[in-house]
Amino acid sequence: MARFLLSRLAISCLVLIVVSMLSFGLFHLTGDAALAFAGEDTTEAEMALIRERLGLGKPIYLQYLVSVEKLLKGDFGISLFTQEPVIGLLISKLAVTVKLAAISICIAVAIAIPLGVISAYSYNSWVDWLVTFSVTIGQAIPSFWLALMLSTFFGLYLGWLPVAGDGSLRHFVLPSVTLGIAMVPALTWVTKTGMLDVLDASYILFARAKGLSSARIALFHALPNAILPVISLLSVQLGQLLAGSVVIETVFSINGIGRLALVSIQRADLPIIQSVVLCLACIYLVLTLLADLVNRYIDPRLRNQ
Amino acid sequence: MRGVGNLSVDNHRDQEGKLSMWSKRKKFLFGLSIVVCFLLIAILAPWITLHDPYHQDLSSRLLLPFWTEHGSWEYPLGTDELGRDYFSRLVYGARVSIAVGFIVVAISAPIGLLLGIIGGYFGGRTDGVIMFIITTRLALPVVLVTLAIVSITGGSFVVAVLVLGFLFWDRFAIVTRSATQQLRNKQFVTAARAYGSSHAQILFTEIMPNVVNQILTIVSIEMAHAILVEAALSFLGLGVQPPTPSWGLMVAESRALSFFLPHLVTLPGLAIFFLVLGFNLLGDGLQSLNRR
Amino acid sequence: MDMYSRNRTKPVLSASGLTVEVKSGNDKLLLVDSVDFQIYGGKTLCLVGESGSGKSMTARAILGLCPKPCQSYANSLLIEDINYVRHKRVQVSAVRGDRVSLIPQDPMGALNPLLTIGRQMVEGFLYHKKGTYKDAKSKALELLSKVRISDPETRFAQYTHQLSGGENQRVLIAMSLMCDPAVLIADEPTTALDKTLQLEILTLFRDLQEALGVGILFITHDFDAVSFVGDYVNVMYAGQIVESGSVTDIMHSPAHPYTKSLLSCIPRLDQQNHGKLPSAIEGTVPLPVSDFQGCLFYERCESAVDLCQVDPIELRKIDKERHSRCIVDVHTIEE
Repeated sequence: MARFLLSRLAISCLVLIVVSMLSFGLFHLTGDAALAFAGEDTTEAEMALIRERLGLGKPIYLQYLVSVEKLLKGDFGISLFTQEPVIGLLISKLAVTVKLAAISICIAVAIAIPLGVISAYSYNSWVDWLVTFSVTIGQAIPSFWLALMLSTFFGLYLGWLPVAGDGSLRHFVLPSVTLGIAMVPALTWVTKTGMLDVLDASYILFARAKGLSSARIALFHALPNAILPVISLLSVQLGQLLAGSVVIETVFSINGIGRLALVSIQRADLPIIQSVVLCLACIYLVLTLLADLVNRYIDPRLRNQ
Repeated sequence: MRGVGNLSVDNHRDQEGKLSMWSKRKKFLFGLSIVVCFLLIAILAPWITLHDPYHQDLSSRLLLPFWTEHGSWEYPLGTDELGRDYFSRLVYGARVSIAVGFIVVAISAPIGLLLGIIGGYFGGRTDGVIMFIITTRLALPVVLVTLAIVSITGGSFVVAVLVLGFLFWDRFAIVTRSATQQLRNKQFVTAARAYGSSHAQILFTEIMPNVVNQILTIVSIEMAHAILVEAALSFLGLGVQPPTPSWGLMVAESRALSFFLPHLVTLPGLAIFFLVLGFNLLGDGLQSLNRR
Repeated sequence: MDMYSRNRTKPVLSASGLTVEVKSGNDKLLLVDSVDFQIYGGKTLCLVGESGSGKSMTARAILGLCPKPCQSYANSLLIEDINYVRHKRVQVSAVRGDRVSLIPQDPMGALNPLLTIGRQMVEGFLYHKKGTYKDAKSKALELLSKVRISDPETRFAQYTHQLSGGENQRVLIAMSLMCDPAVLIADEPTTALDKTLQLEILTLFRDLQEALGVGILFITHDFDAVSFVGDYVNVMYAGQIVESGSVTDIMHSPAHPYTKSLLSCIPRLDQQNHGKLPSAIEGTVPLPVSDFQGCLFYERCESAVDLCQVDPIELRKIDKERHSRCIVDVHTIEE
């Protein structure tokens, strides 16, 4: 166990280093950061000043090392626009997105898992067909379009729910429903196929031969086995949710990390962009590590690897 | 009445029977026909549209589609805010979407395939490196990275497509890698090694052909994926730039009017939906047919 | 009830008219065709046949565990004198795992990979309310050592993937005995193992039966196993019993042509083969369509005559405790 954790942490650190190098390199090399920040109307003198301020005069690897040094000290820099420390911004916006993600996942799980289980138990019936059909349709819907449709209908047309801002819990309903629905197809499918594999297994037949009740079998034999692939998928989806929330947050004007990233990108506020990328990568690594730990806990075959 | 004596009624999936076989083929054919339809629309665009999608006529702004009272057949689906024919823009938008799908996959598939095959075949340290590369890519918030690069270099179709191409290879790599791992241990590979074939020869003649089936599925699905992402990027203003017609962009441009003129938002969305559905069905159908 | 005082002349399990059918298109296939048999305490009844003969399905039918598309019926199923058939349907769920236990075919797959061996051993015991957890655990450890598993305490806390195939099979045997069943159904318990292990497991079955007096239904396609553990044998073909009798009688002088062919397939060291390989029976087991005319073995039978094709052949008593489903002459039985 200790070995597993240590090697995972080591790899994760390495990944983060590479990610930071990549993001640093990409953003500094693919364009003129100063120009992107300053816009096209600045004079030569102003540009020189900006360049100096941004520390762009030095060779790229030095710039990188400087930023790493600052990072390790906990200094994520300050926003070029608002002069606020980045770290404060990150935390507050991340909190909003995490809230959104949490609600979305709850909605997705509440719909997908029962649907997947029902679909597996009534394999090849009309119920199964209906679920499969819905999954196929659901996977093709563009999320921003769904967001617009829902907000126009429930928000503007019916006026039941607010469509912008994140002040109250009601503000989170539409966006999390959109995100939740977007996650349902894949989750349902994985649950269904996981359940099918389990239902066919010899140990289920044997458990029945022992005379155990269907409820006991479903709960203690079928479910733990079926849930394994679902956990892995959930962690990936959660990571993608946090990273891909930008569209939904834009549509619903939620001040989460996605929106922060988009706005910063539009304003070429590099310190924020780089910190967001690093932060999200870190979260992804943590989430997958947690998922693997849970899997190891449930499945003894994965231990002592 | 002769037959195989081993009736396997246990397995749920064996119960599928003939009906399901037909429905698998149906799925594949349905998906294929949708994709072919869109392809034809895109190719034949100049011949099936009446107007230039870029041509603005401010005196004909926001005309309604033909099924409404004031609509006409001159502008079958009405016009947008700048008086451009919506039907033409939708049709030409197909070109953009399909181009995105093909180009992104053309770039990402070879990358993913190469990485996957090398990692899956050689195993050990090499595979460790490959997995590290894949993990790093998965940790990156690709949408944000793409947005950032596109923004810094000035938003354009070419940049967006290139960046997506160089980032969207993960699924290819993962599937190829596991398929290769399974094949590597099969007997025909061992036989080839014993026969004296070099690694490269084996990779090309034994492994690659067997992996191709699964790759085709992923190709289709990733095309759908790329189209969805490009639509989202354009929607955010960081993909295709106006005045190029892109369905995502069209949704964004008409967003403010969505309450009063929902068709401006609905139609491009439906277009995206159907094209993506087509590719998904095609990919799924291929996968089901391969399972036999 | 003390196992040793079990009545060894009355059957612990008696099945009559056991049938399993499945719809296939417009046809109804009889996977098991009205089978009767008795299992006695302390004795082993072997069910022999090729793949597709219906032997595994018979076992599933006794337990009421036929897969969904199949329907199973019976006239009666008596286990320890209680009839578990209501309205022609087998309803044994109350005593499944308790009075009648299954030892399944695939030792590696039959145990849940996520739960410990011990947990799975005690759950049946606890579910059928045989005692407390402490009772369950001590019984489990006792049985594990009875099946000759080394270091039962450690094994109790291990998982199925940590044990070998042979060890898993022993665990399954031990598990089946947890509730002191009257009948054990062993579905090809040695098929998945290699030869050396097979002998060990077969010996284990013999010893356990000797010690516990349990009745065993032993399903196999291997006549070697039959001769080692069997007291009685029913030969099955295409869902029907084609011959039944004691093991010694049948192996010495088989009456039905199918049995004869099966036995001649086994290479015997004590016979001279004159350099010939044992003959495989040509053809395959037919699909058991319900309105088939005549003998099901007709097309593969060496002794067949025209009369064999006319009417369905009944199981006829040809001697004391011997039955055969063949109308070709009976004087092939020596004696």
